[in-house]
Amino acid sequence: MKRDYLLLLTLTVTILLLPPLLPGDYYVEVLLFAGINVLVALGLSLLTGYAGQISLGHAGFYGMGAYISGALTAHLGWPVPLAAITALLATAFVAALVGWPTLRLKGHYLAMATLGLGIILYILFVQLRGITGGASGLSGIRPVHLGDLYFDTPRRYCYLVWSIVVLAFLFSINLVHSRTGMALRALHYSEVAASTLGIDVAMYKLKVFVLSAVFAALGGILYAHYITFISPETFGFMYSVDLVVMIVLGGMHSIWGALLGGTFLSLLPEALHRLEDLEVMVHGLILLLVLIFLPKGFVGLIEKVGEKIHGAP
Amino acid sequence: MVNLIQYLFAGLTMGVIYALTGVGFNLIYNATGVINFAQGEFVMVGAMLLYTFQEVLHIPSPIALVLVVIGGIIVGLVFEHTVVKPLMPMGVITVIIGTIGASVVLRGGAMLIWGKDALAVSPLLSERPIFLFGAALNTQVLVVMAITALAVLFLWYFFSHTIVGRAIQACAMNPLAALLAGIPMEEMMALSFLLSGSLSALAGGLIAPITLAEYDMGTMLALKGFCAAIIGGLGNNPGAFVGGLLLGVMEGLSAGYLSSGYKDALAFLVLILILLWRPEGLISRGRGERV
Amino acid sequence: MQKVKIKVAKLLIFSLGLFLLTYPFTSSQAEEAYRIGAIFAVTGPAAWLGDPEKKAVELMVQRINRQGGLLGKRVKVVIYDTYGDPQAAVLKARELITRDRVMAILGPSRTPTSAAVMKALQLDREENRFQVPLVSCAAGRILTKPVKPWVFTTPQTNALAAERIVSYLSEKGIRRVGIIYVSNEFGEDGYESLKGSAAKHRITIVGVETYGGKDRDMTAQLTKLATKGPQAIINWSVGPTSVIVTRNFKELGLDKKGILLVMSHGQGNIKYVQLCGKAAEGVILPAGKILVAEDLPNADPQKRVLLSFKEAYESAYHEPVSHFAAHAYDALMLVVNAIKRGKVRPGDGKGLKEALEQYCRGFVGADGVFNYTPQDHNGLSVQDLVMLKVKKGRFILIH
Repeated sequence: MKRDYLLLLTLTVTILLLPPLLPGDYYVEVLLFAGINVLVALGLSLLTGYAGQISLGHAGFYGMGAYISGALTAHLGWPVPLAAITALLATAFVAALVGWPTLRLKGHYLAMATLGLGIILYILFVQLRGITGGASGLSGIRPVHLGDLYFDTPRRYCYLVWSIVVLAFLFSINLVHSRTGMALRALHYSEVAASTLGIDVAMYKLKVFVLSAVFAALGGILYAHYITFISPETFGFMYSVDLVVMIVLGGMHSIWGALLGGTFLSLLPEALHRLEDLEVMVHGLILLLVLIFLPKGFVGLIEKVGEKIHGAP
Repeated sequence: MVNLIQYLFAGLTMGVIYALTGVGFNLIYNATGVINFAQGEFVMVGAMLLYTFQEVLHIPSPIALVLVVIGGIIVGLVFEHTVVKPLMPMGVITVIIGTIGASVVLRGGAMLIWGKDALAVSPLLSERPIFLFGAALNTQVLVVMAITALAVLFLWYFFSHTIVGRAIQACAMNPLAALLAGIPMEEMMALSFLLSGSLSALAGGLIAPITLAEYDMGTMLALKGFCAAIIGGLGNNPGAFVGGLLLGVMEGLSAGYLSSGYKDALAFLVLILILLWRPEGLISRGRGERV
Repeated sequence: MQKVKIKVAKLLIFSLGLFLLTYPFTSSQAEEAYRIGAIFAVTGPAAWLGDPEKKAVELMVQRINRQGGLLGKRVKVVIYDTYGDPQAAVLKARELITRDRVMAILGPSRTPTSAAVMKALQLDREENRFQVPLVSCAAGRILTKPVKPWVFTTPQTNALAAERIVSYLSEKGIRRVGIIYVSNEFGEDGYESLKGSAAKHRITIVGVETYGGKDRDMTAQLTKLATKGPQAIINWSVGPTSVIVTRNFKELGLDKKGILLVMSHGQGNIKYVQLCGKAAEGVILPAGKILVAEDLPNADPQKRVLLSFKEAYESAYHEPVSHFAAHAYDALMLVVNAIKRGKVRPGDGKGLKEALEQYCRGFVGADGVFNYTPQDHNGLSVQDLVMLKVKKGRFILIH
């Protein structure tokens, strides 16, 4: 637990110092988008690590956050915080509605149900043209501001995004180490054992699922109010898949996997894009290589290195 | 009435495509418990290979199809050897992510080899449709349906009446017991990838005249094929067949009678409802486990 | 097991190494050059769109530099891939401006990516931090209506194409049309434009159907439309879906029922006809003149430009030239023309924007004759589209 707080402190200091050191806005913006990915991946990693479930529809929740919050500010002129909170609540409600029946089933039914939900949400983004602007996209979304301070440069927005990421990590660390968290971890290993301890397994799973959907929606809100224009393809099935790839590459057994995996997958295209047409293939090969050599993800690698330095644990 | 039949035909056309992909999913799921995200890419490679053999090298269609099946066998085996086997000890989820990586590699490779434009492949029988009850039906659909039915029959016989087939099923049901019974697990795994690869490549070759061949056609196929398999109950081959047809027909009918914009949404809503109502799939003997 | 793993790893590393060897090194640029950026959907679901665009720009820049450059200086173009993804497009545009220090951006290929770049970089405001014009290859109305200070577009808009089609149908005495479109930004914008034009020419829209960009059977939608008794069915889409619509239309025998099939101007090259096979016979569509360059009357001001570009493109890449290549050709050549005639210095984005508005009147491009003004950042007119018919596997002009 102490170690987690120390890591979080290191992250905070790094993020504070990094933007001014980066040579230009482009790098800051890469960091900014990485932050959004990390936030969404963090939610998914809680779901996987502490409820033993996978979601293949998180892009849908990401989109719900973006569209609801964006549309409320664009069409009705709501202030951003109010619109954002409404979006979070609505997403939580939908997640609960889908999670409640499916999480009572044993097996990977949540993955299948969320897969369907993600696609349905995507179609709604395209078809509800009056609200979402359809495939042509929604413009007129308000930027975030505190009084006269507008978060309209990559640098300012980057700080905003990463402060929320740090808060989300703080929240997650507390959750992981709370009584609930211990119970969740117990149930990842044995649901029967957990339920004999008097833990309402389905209820805990549902809570984690809703929380992870809320993290995704929060990521979507941050995205929408930064670009101030959104269109459906950002929220398609492939993003859901990318998220799962992020947490696996990072290391599924730890919430820090989301940080490493999310950052890695955000930086990879930037590192590869000069390969032009070869990029797609090389991207896939690198994913395979990481999987083969780092079966426990980047976190596993760091742990191993740590053990080597400090001797046996 | 004619319209209803036409909508049904539209549904069947896509339905057989979903069905074939769904069966390919099952073959791998049954032997390994892995959802193969590269399944759609297997189909894509089949379509592309048929284009090369039939349209570029002008090999007669039947021989070209045989070559496509051989190509599929190679893809399946190489895939099993380079991706699945090394990752298997690290758990099913890692393998699944591995298949995602491999699908990206296959897609990227196909883009380099065959380019970014869609390619046309001529049908096996005739370009002109036949008319049944006043509604038009692409003759290629009949070919696909016949071959899919044959494949499902063959698989059913193979898995329930041959020693090898039963051995594969045993591996999936209880790996430890299968190992103790002296079943060579690795060979069985390779065999199921061989089967899935060849069937999917054949599927690709058969559907290309209907859908065109394109390097990124796999994603859509995998998604719908996976749904077909879920509707029929994951792992159940006749189930996937029926599930695929059902999914296609649902789409056709909703496009005809409700709204073409929402047809996919309706299909997936039905998928979710089926999951809640019969988690083990529509066609299944056992009941799903509830906690 | 371990041995297998090592073998596999070796194989993967080997292939990775091979690819990295081909990694193109970017040369250092000590000399002063005109630095222009471009972002296209070179890979991903719209790759068939971005690929010819990239090729056209590379070809023309090579040609300009071979002929002594621009105002005595070299033109340096940096092209990045957006994968058709708005977020990637924003990042690449930011990279082009802040790292590669370009004075103009060509592209992106599609409307949502273009709109995301425009919004994120605030190019829709007169005063912004970058002062770099975006010459987009997308046709959506959000980019030019109302006019956005820093955004220009090159393709013929959907509104122009819709007007061309509807006025043609109206001349032919057609009063009832059905519309079918792909549910993406292109189809949606086309549908809205058709609604406007149809109302103007008093043509009734009897039915509207849609399909997804990855759908591969549209017989249900076409059957439903046909029951409403249209005299013509207008399809608005780009890429493979339009091939499927054409084939399904023929399979259902709708042409024999006297219904006319009309396509949008998204069928940007002869590949469409080749993919459709016989099914394309008799299809009518509006198009830029590039598709029929040889058949244009000699008096047409575009003929010389089109033939020269077409010949260069086809001999360089061994594939038929397309609308999409023309959009990118125009984006580059408009910028080059503005720099040349406005004597714009390298790096002066603001000067370039003003030159684009001032010196690109009557500019003869591949998509048409452009008339950029401060009030019009598309600058094309209905005259820049011709109506074509598919006959014996090729496009012919119908007068």
